[in-house]
Amino acid sequence: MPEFSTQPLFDIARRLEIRGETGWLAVLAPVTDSTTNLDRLQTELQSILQKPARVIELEPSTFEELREALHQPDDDAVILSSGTGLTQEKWRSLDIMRSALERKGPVILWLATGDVANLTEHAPYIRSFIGASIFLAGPDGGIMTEAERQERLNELSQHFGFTGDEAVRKAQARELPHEPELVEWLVLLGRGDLL
Amino acid sequence: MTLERARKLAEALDSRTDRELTELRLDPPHKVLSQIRAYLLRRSEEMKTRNNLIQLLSIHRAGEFAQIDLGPSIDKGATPQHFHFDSGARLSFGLTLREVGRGSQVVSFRYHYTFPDGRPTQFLRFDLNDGPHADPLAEPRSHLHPGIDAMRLPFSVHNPIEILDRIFFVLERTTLGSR
Amino acid sequence: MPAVFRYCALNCFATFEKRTYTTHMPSSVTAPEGQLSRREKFRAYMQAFNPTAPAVDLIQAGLVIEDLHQSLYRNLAGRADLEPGSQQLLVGGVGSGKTTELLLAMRSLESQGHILPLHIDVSKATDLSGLNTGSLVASLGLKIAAYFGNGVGAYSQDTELKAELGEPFEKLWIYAYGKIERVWVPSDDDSPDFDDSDYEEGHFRIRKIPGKLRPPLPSLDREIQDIREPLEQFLAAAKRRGKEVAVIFDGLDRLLDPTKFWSVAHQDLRLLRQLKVSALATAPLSVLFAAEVGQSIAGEFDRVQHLAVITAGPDNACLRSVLEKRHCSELLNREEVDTICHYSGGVLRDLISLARDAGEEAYVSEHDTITAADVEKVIRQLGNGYLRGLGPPVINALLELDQSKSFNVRLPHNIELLLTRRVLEYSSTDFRVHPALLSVIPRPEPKRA
Repeated sequence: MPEFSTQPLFDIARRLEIRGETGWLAVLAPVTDSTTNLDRLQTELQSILQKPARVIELEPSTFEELREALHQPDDDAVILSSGTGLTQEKWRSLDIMRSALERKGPVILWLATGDVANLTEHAPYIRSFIGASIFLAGPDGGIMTEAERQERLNELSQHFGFTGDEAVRKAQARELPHEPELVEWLVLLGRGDLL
Repeated sequence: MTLERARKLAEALDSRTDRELTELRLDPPHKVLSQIRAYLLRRSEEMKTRNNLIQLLSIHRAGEFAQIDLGPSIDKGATPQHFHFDSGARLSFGLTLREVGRGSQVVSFRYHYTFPDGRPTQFLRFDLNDGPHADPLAEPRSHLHPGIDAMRLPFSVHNPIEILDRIFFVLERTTLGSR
Repeated sequence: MPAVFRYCALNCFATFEKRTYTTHMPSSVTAPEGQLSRREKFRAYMQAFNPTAPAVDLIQAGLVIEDLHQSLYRNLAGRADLEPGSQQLLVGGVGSGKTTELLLAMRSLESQGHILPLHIDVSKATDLSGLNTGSLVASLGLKIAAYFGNGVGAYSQDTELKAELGEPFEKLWIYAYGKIERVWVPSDDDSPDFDDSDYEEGHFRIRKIPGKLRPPLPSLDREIQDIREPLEQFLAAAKRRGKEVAVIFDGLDRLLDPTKFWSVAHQDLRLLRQLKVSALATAPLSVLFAAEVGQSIAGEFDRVQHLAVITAGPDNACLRSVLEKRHCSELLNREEVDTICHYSGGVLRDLISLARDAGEEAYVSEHDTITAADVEKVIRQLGNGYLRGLGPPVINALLELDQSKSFNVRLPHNIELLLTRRVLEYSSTDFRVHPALLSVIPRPEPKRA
């Protein structure tokens, strides 16, 4: 099975931004946590493009509903979600109405994995708009690794001259100052309850 | 004006800071991370110095708390993990959020801007403590260190992005202009 | 205003307005070295290489090579002008430049002065998959009406316009959008005390009569001749103003099944021929290559013009000119230009897409210009998109085509390969696997001796 490039959702939004906040691309939803990732994609689009981002379910929208939804407004970012996948007839129908779907703002197809084949097979006009812009939704990065967390804990311990356990004890005794580095220390230790 | 009156005024300022912080509501932590990253990305593109934001910015979740960090927790010299400016300055920051309802509140932050070598002032650091100090005159809850760790001047409550505005559009621009 | 008008979507005229929204099509992105930031350079490049940009914007911005297809548009326009009632088909695969060629033809017709060319993308205004006989002429009628009066209000408020064309406009409207009627439905009452000479019981019921441009509600068999009279009146009005109407129907190529295409177009085009309205229309590739059905359809037209895939040529001159017109050298060196030209296969949209995607790849990878690695990556992506969903038999058939150059275009599954652009048609006898697809097709393991 040919693999597409895995892209963090942040970079997918960047791609649309450098295009001038227009154009089409397709993102293959991960098998698990698809809803969370869809929400994350929406967040990144809003942050990077500095405009609202909506999700529209392709099924069971009719021609009129889709056309109206995509043009009111027509300049925000729209994610068209195919859910668990669309039928061949639905893809053909969408392809025929491609002109009605064209708009100023970007269009992102959020696809189930199996839908790429349907896209190429039954929606060649839409696929033509997408070109090579088919990406696997990758991890968004930014999650602090365990190694990074430990490195910070060591750094804080060395700076303040006492261990994490002592920091917790001081916090429990209300003896820990309120400085932001110490707040961070407790959070990284998983002891935000002591704040 | 007496020292006692000054302390009372400082206490009142801390109370106002508490109220303003309670009223300041941000988006959920993952959205705040996204917004900060997008902000830094845009600023990066206006600069010649390259910074790999994907690697620099990180978030740690622990229950209702989230810690967003860029650079080391304690600045002890330039590292690749800092955000580096065209002027030669560098930035590290940490932001602690608590999820509340469908958003989040600021618990504390630190933004440490280190000037390039050879400047009369070494650094400016914007700090927000997570609670009041016994002596709010010496240590307001929200304060600025003007290059001296032991000196703290009150600083009004800011949205975390607004502090970045001060750093990029005031500090860095002035620093660049005075090279 | 009659109630019938309130039934209909008031933005119907807006759907026929020329769509243009790209406000920053650069005519030049050249600037002295260093004066444009990296971001600005990439931004300008990306705007010039937008494969989804409306063709009308590209033409206006001067980014189109007008003689790319040997000025075919002039021939199309010339025939439409000199032979009123002529009907020409423009057939081409996805992304071959049909709309651009038609808009150039339209511009050429406009410049004649006495022609009123009307471009209609029917798929934009209504659900093409639900179209039936009469839809095309209904769209044309509304487009002509919009030329005379902007909006429904014009036909009721402008006294002169109302007097001249009010009645045909109303008929046109009802034909296109249907109407609501209040009909009295009597109820039966056998009560001995009831004196039915004085009072009839019953109620009003709302009945919707669908039009041609509404989703079929159920479908209703409408006589296409119902629209002939109002259309004739509009055409006569245009003639009085010194204009001969010519129509360009775009979007009909989306009806990939030639039978469906013909069911939509047949009766309407016949009426237009009777009315001496010249027509240009797009049609799917299956009209050219499908046995029997395709041939019979093609035979109904005065001209069937194939917009073939562009052959790269010895030094990619033709395709390269398309990229250079958009100032590709800002970020692309000669070698990468040639690579993109080759792997586009000559499909214009793929050419622009690859150039754009390569730029995008370079940007997110923090490169200052487009590198060979960026180009290679997007070619692979494009190829993988074409490869998805192909089973071993089809893959083998494609490899066979590449080896033997033999391709039976009449076979239905082969026409599918043409329609989905896995196979490209350079002429009626020259068929090749899309180069990007070919680059990623898995090859069988060589048999060990």
